[in-house]
Amino acid sequence: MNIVETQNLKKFFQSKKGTVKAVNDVSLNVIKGETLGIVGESGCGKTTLGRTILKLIKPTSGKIYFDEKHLFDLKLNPRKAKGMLENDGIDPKLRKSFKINKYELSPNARVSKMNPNSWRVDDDGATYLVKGEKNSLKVYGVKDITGIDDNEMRQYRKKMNIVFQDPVSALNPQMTVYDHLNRPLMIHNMVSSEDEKLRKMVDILNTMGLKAEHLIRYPHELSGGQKQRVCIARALCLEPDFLVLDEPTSALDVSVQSKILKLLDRAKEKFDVSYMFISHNINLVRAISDRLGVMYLGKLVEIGETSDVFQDPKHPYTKGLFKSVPQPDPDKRVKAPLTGEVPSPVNPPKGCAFSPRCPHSKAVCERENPDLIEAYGRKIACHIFGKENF
Amino acid sequence: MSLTVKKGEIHGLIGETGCGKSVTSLTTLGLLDNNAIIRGGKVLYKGVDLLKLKEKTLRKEVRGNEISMIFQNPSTSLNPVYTAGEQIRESIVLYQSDDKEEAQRLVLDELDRVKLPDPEDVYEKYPHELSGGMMQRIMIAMMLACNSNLLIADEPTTALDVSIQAQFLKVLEELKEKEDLSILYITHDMAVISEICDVVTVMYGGQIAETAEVHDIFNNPRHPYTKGLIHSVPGVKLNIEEFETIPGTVPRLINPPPGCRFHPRCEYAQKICKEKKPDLEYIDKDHFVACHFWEEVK
Repeated sequence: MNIVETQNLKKFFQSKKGTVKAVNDVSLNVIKGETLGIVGESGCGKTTLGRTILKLIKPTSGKIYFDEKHLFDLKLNPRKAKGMLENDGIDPKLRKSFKINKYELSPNARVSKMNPNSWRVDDDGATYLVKGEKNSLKVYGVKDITGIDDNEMRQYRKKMNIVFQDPVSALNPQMTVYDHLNRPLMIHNMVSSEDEKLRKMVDILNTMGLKAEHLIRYPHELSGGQKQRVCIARALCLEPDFLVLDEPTSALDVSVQSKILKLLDRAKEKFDVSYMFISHNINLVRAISDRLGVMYLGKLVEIGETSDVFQDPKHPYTKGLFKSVPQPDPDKRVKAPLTGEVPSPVNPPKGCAFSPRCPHSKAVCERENPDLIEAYGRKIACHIFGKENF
Repeated sequence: MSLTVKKGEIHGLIGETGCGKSVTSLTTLGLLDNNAIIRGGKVLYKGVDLLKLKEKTLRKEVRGNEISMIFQNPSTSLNPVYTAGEQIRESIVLYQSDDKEEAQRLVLDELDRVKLPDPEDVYEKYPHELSGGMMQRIMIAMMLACNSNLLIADEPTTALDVSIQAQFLKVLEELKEKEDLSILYITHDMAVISEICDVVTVMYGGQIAETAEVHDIFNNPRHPYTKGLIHSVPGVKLNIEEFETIPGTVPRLINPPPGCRFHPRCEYAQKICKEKKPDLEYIDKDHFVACHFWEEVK
């Protein structure tokens, strides 16, 4: 089940030179309990993606769904089901099956198609996702947080949080660690007494390898690694379901970095939280993530199980990117596999954005933008290698 | 701190923030701030002690001419109001030829040597129109234009993307092969070290912890710090559970720990480590280590 799902998410920025398509049509899901790694080079839109999902910046278009709950299954012949969902309006049979399962649809409910195997049903603020499986349709209840206002968003702020790259600028130099943890706990009414609050703070600091005495410290009295641990503690103290980690170790020394990763791993178990781990450090993401998404110029080019993608990358960009990564082994040296540079996102190449740098590029690649489609147990956006029977 | 860079060798200097790697390189070229005091020692370049040279001689005959340096952030090293070509031409006019047309032709040759596509186009571009990787290659071209023999590169790829980093490292390797260029490569990235260096020196708290040929450093590290450094790099171990961490943080050099500076973080530390600074011991061909218990480190 998904904790977060995006459908055709777009975030464009207007600049003097034109429109920057920072996130361009990204559909992905974060499964409950997993760590989804997002890698890509600078300017590929990975940070913008993380912030847009949390609605820290407003999406240009597309949908963000949060906290999917499985409601019921419909045992149906898939062909029949398809016909039922692709008619305009709600088919009486579908309406009936909702009713049987105690989810009554109003006369205004609307069905819209999201991709070949899933549909959404909107009804008076409630959103259902209907996904086709082998012999059934699975119906999920989700919260569509795309359009809701800041007031309503507040209750979701507690459930989703972010840790930024630079802990120095993420902490207020005039506030102690206590203040940093106190504020979110008070705003969201997480505790009923001062006693309980302190216990909670100390517990979370301990999880992050810090002690109660750190509560009275100011940021300048902490080392870089300790500051980042405070940032993570602050993000975790509301017991969120979903955490975006945006390059959380890039500003730290390697010996400190591995410690933070271990603490994050431990916190994930303890608080039952799902991570979206954004980084340009591919070796790092490989170690921490269950699934991996590779971005290039605002688009996902490949997404799948981390071990699969690493063992046998399919998209030419993924291949080149992985081969460019220096390995800490002097016997395995790299031969600069990618030529050229990432083009400007203001004026991306026509067709497949990677085609000008791609050694396998054909006419179709320069003409049409490839869709992200299922193949080899993952999703790939490539005209040449994205199909299993090529 | 004693370190030798041989001709045609890429020597990696690695260490964490504040271990003194940049200060080492700045001292070599006499570029330290006024409040820095050099208490002793020599910097020998082709047998000449650079520390004894006058500032004027250093500037005219050593910097650029013999030894060049490139820094982490190329955008702050280039002048934003001159085109890339003009800035390279300046070093050619200074050191090689003052004929304008010939200088321009030489600039284009240099741009080609560092594998920049379309040199004529790049010549006319201002730094802000170039990417980080291209700017860093302009810096190299500038250095090549003055025919330097030694390049000191201080974290040159930290600001670059991996695909660009791979291209840039390739250029450096080719220059080493073809032109017999010597490079002192400063970085905190163990993976980059393994990628490009012939010899590695590991620094900790302002001192050398270990120095060896690159394969020896990775396959047979003898200083506990080197070992910890290698095992905390993701890529060696693929599972987070197996990551080793070095407890504690890098000491401040205002008041460094007595004895071996690594002892408060070291799992092998014993009484002697707190009292006596270990000497750099010879353990094998070109392999030196400063640890009382190097024989026990496996």
